[in-house]
Amino acid sequence: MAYNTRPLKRAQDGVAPQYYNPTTDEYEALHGTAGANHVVIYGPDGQPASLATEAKLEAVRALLALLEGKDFATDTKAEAIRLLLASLDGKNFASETTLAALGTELELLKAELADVKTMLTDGTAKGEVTLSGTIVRDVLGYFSTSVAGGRQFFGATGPISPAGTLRPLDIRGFRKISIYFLNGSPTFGTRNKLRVTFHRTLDVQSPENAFAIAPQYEFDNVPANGSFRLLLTSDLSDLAGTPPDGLAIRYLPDLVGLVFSYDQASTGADGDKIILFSGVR
Amino acid sequence: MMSLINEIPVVNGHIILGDGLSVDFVSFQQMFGEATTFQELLDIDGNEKGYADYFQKLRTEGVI
Repeated sequence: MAYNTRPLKRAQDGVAPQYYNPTTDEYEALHGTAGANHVVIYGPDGQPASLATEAKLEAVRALLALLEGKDFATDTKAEAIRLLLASLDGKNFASETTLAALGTELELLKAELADVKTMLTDGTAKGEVTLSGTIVRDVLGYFSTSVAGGRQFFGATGPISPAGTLRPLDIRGFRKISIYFLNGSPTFGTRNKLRVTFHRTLDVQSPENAFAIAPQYEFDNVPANGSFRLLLTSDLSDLAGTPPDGLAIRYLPDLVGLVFSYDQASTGADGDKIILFSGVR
Repeated sequence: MMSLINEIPVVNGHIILGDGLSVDFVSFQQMFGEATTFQELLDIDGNEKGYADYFQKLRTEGVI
């Protein structure tokens, strides 16, 4: 049907304000509020548009407020950006080829590192490592003797038997003292333990009868052909890194003299015993 | 028969006896290389060389 085939609505005194409704194919009376017709606004999609509410308006206002005071791009800044972009022109950036070449170099480096790791772990490089530094270890005393048959004492001088006298080893000013003892006898181990004592003076004295100063240390006997390593240190960090073939203990610093002794049953010269004192200041 | 001391771990050519003590393997082999039993080790030591306690420890730990 069409609008021009339908009858108009009439009011009391004539034709009423109306509109044509194509859905019902009828004219329908107009309604309004505050002197105006009701109006439906359609959006670009042909659907009735949602009207702005107070809440939506407030949200828009808040967004606009955010833009207030913003420093937008100026011509000066745009020019600065253009210059920066221009400066990139002609740069030699990494190409696929250069990246591939770099990858090859890295693979070669990786292989060489693996070889080095193998050398260090399988012993190939054993003896080829060079250490350098400024640590100076002073040799304080060296003794080589086959004397046995009783306890033998060593200090700055020695060896002497319990009935003898000697001058203790001067350890003043040393932070670390190392004692190496090799029992060169293939027949007898030592007995009655190794012994390290400290002395208050460097005077010639009888070590067996000297006034005892704590600490005194006794260590396990050294078997035939065996060796003993001892580190006396005032540095506590040494105690965390005790070498696997050595014994580290702490000693009281500021002591004056040291005496080392061993006892062995051998009655003859069946192998030299070696005593080496060294120190680090 | 294989020497019993070949079962003992060697570090840098030395046998670590503990508590700062060690012995080089060559010397050790010269002394005990012919032993094939625990008793032979003790016999060679003769309670003089000073290894009896160490051998006992190795036996307790199941090394030899």
